[in-house]
Formats: sequence, structure tokens, C-alpha cells
Amino acid sequence: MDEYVKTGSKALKDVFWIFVIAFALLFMHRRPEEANTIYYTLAFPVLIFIVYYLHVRLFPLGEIQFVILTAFLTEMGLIMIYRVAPELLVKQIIWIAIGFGLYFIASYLFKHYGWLYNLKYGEYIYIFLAVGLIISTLFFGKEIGGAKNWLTFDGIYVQPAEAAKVIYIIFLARYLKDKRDLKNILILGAITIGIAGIFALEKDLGMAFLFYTTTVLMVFLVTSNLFYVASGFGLMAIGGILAYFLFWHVRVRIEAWLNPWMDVPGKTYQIVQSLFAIAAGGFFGTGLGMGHPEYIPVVASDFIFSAICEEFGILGGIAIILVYFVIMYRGIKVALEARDEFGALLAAGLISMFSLQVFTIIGGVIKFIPLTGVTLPFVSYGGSSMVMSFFTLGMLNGISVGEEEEDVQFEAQY
Amino acid sequence: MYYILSQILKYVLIFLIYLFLYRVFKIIYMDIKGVRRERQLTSAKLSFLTGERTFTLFEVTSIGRSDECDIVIESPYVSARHALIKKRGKRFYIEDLNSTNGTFVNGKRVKVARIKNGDIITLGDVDLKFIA
Repeated sequence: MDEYVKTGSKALKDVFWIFVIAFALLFMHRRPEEANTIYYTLAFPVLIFIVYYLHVRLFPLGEIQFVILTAFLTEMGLIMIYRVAPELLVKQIIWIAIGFGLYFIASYLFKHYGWLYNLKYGEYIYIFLAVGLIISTLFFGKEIGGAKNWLTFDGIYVQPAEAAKVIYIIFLARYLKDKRDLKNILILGAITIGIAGIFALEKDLGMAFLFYTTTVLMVFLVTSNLFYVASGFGLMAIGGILAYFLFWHVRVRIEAWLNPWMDVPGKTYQIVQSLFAIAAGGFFGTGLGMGHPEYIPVVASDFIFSAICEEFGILGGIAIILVYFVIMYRGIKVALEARDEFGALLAAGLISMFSLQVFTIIGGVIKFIPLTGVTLPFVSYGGSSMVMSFFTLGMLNGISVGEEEEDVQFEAQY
Repeated sequence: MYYILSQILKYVLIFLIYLFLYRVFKIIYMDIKGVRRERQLTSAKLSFLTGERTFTLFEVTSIGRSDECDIVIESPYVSARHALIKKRGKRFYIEDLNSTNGTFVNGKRVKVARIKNGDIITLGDVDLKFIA
């Protein structure tokens, strides 16, 4: 066994010990009422080790670090979710299990991603699927927490925008691979502004920002033209100012960001509670079970980072951010080493979207940028987000594995 | 009681979290530095079909006519840097480095190919046997 693998399994052992200590404390703090909770909790480390073993077996050349890092992130999420909303714990563990399943499926599907590119009329199919998914909530959607971005099927809530993200990235990679002159970039810009507009109507500003910024980044990747980027961000600024005057909910967000103390019990309640929680944590946190994360609204999904900062301290929060940086680094490495341009674009788009999402929500809850409601991948409670985050990393793993494993056999050339 | 326990264990938890991070960054460090044990010997060998010499392979082994290569083959048909054999996971791969006369595995010209125990690798006019 070489040192590379050994260090990885040692890191996984650390994850295991964090799990043991944290859940021992939490079970003491809040006696679980049902035996079910304990069984599911114990199933989590078993799941991680099975996934790790399978990953080493099935993809010896794959990105094993994805498993280690997501194990850490999902575990921190589970600890916090059990702390603030114990009834969601079992569901979250089931979602994680489904997510890992999808991770493997995506790895196999995208090992040979050429079919995505070769599909006839591919780009029309992708864009219609993506836009269809995004628009569907405008007509059939349900409004939860201020944004109309949910669909319900028999009590199961799904966020179609999460799936649309991946499809949209495939579209972008496919489109930009061949069409990168001014006219086509302008068409793409129009499409993107349309999508951002739909999101703005659904009051889902986080997603509008994600789709728009990812497109600008991807255009920069293929053209290396700073003019496009400058005009992209310039348009975004204009759009932001317009939205500020046109939409009431945008104005509230921006005012809360500029001056959170103006209406603490009302409009700025969320962000102020989040800031209080982070301040209460200090460097080492209040200790598990000793803080009051339950004062923060929507703490299990959007504001979970504040809760972690409160009970694990800012050091815990920084650790989470560093782990995201490592995932980003691995993703960019996959993009750099991809075997063709389409794969590189696909990987770069996926990891940009992922990293921007992390930036949007962490920046939002620490009042670095105006708050918009997106989830923190792998940590927040939420099925759609969890499953699609795993799918994204699975795709990256697939691209990486495919490029390493490909046995190119050439016929004799002479 | 619980309060004291929680206060002590929070430092333990932070310590463990950062130990985890240390290991993750160590992996990255090894990755960037290329210290994926490139110079470490593996159990695989490469021997001339004529049986005159046997080489033990590294994690990454370069083959060619130039002195810089790990395995130097003195033949005019072998390029200066001809091919690379890499170990990834448990498998070995041979990669042709745009050589003039090509790299052949069991008679087939390859760019990158997985090699297994007993495969015959031909570089220029030299036949080598791969023993895993």
C-alpha cells in the first residue's frame, strides 16, 4: 500500500472519530426517542466505508478524494441537522445513500461522455429540457420560503432547478465547443438573460445569479476575451439595479445587506440571527448542544453554515470552506486533464457552478454579499440539492476515470 | 456534567477536523509534487525477450535511447524518449511519446494501452516482455 492511499484512509478514520464523538455527545444531549434514529445514524459510517471500498474497487484511477471530502461534509451536515431538527436526520441519511448511488451511476454514464456531444440536435434538446424544468415551477410550482421553485408529487418536494443546472452545463459545453464567434455569443447571452429573468420572476435570485455567472465564466474560458466578461458583469450590474427598483423582494434583500440593523424583528431577522450565531461561536464555538442555533430561521437548509459556526466556532466554519476549496481544486484538475475540449468544458462548467453556489450561500450568511436562498451542497438538508451535488461530482469522477482508463488502440499507420 | 464534557470535546472535535484537513492537504501536496512515489520500485519487471537483461519498473518509468531515461535501450530504431510505463492503481499502462517507429503491444501499434502480465512490447526493433 503506498502512502497516497494510506493517507486517504487515515483521513477517513478521522471522519469516523468525529462522527463517534459528535453523535455520542448529541445522543447524551437529546435522548433519541426512536430506536430507528440510532440505527440509521449507525448506518452512516457503514455506508461511507462501503462506498469507499466500492470506489477503490470500481475506479482505482478515480477521484477517491471526492468520497473522503463528501463524507466529511455530509457528516458535518448530519451532526448539525440532528442538533437543530432531529426529525429530518433519517430522511437526510436516506438522501445521502441515494446520492452515493447516483454518484456511481453518473460515473459510469459519463465515463464515455462522447455521446453527449454526438447526440443529434443535442443542444436544442438540452436547452429545451433545462428551460422546461425551470419554467415548470412557474406554472405548477409551489411557493415555499418566499421562492416559487418547488414541485410537489404526492408530498415529495423537488426543486427542478437543481436538475436544470446540470443539463444547462451540458448545453453550455456543447454550444461553446463549436460556436464561439460574436453572433453566437450574443444568442447565448440572450438565452441566459431569459433564464435569469424567469428565475427572477420565481423570486429565486440565487439561481439567477448562479446560471448567469456560470455562463459568463464559461464564455471567458472558451474565448479568453475580457470584453465579454466585462460586458457580462456590466449587464448584471444594470440588471441588478433595475431589479432593485422593480421588485420589492430584491430591494428588501439589498437593504438588509446594507443595513441589517434597520428592522431586526422584521425584514432583516434572518441575517441578524445568522450574524449573532456566528459571533456567539467565537474561535472554538460554544460546544455541541450549548449554542442556540434554533433561533436562526431555516437553519437546517440555507443557514446551516451559521449553525456550524456557532457550535464549532469559526475554526469549524473555515474548515468547511477549505474542504470546498479542495473539491474545487480537484474539479479544476479534472478539467485540465480531460482528454478533449468538450470534457474540459463540461468539467469546468460543473465545478464553476458548484463553487459559485458555495460562494453564494456562505457569502450570503456572513453578509459578504446580499443573501440569496441556495443550499450549501452536501451540508444543507434537502433531497434535490444533495442528490444533484452527488451527481455533479459523479460526472467529474466519470470524466476523470474515462480519460485515465481509455485504451486507445491504433491500427498500424503504415 | 454535560456542559463540561461538551466544553472539553469541542477542542477535541476541532483538533480532529484539522487533523483531517492536514491529511487532505498532504494528499494534495503529494499530488502536486508528483510524489505519488514515482521513484518507488514496483514488483513488475520488463525483460528483453533475448533474456540478456531484466529491469524492475518504477511507478513511472521512461524508456528510450537517451541517458535521461530510466531504461536505456541502445538501438538506432528507438527514439530518444520513446515510451512511458505508468502504474495507476494496480494496473500498468504504456504510453507512446510520439516516437518515430511507434510502440507495439502484442503486435498492435498503440498510443496508450493497458498492459498485462506476459504482454510483448516492441519498441523499434527491440522486443520486451512485461512481467507483472
